[in-house]
Amino acid sequence: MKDRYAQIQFIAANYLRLQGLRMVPIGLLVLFTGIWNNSRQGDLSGPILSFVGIAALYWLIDLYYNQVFGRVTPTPAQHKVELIVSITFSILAILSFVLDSAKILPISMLGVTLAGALAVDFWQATRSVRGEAFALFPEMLVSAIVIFIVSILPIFGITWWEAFGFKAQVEGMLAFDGIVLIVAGMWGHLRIRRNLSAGEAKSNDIAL
Amino acid sequence: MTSPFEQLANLDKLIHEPARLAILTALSACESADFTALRRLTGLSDGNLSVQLSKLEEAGLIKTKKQFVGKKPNTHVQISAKGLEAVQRHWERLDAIRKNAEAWENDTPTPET
Repeated sequence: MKDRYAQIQFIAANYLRLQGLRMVPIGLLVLFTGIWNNSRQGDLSGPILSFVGIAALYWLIDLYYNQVFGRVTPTPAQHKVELIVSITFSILAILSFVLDSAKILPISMLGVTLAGALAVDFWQATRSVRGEAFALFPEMLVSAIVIFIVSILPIFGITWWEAFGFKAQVEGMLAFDGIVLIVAGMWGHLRIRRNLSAGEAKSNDIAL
Repeated sequence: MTSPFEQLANLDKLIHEPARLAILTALSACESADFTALRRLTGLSDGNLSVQLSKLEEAGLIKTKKQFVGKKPNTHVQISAKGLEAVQRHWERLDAIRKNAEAWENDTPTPET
């Protein structure tokens, strides 16, 4: 009996985080950045149009979730932690991008940072449901592991990005991260749709 | 020591009712939720959710705020301090009853065949 209530509590505490489609525009932005950086055409009309399109897509997704799934406001404590984590990983991502562009390290620090951000997100969301953590939020942990593995492949001499036509690891990694975020977002959306369309809870009010 | 059955019978029935316990459990994990989100989270029908929210509000366990988003009415629901304390205490009691039931089961002699 308690499992159902634990699931309700978990979803209520992570309502925004579990709305997977919100990750799709972010993934598209990262993917387009990688592709545009790789082509280096100097023409900014493409990135500007992409940015406007992605912002419009995010607005539509926000509207969809608010109308179909409703709004849940996180507690001030949850909001504060999310803000601190977001700012910290944004700074780390910029530093990693600079490091990767300078080609100082053999691994992709951008990928390692994103994997770390996803792993922290997974840990934060599932702290209260340790035993069932993976079943409730699998896409974050799987994405973190996949991105981490691909990030360290150059250590083993695997320059995978060349096979896909990318000039450098940083562009290839951006495109790969974007694709992973899009897939994880869609996966998360399908899962939350399934979890929130369960049959009506039985009320035994009359018996009581 | 009271038996688990007696302890179960002494539970607060206003909170222990499954639909209301689901609503309070959801609200205890966030600042507030609107009607649509609560309907999704609990799986209750519109009518049933309205009835349960009225009962919880009458008991002072939740606070509701009705507003309009465009032309659509939107109800925001927040758990009160009394409601939060009550649902936390309720889960603690249920955990205690579960442990007590396990100990009681082990202590009860099995009939010989």
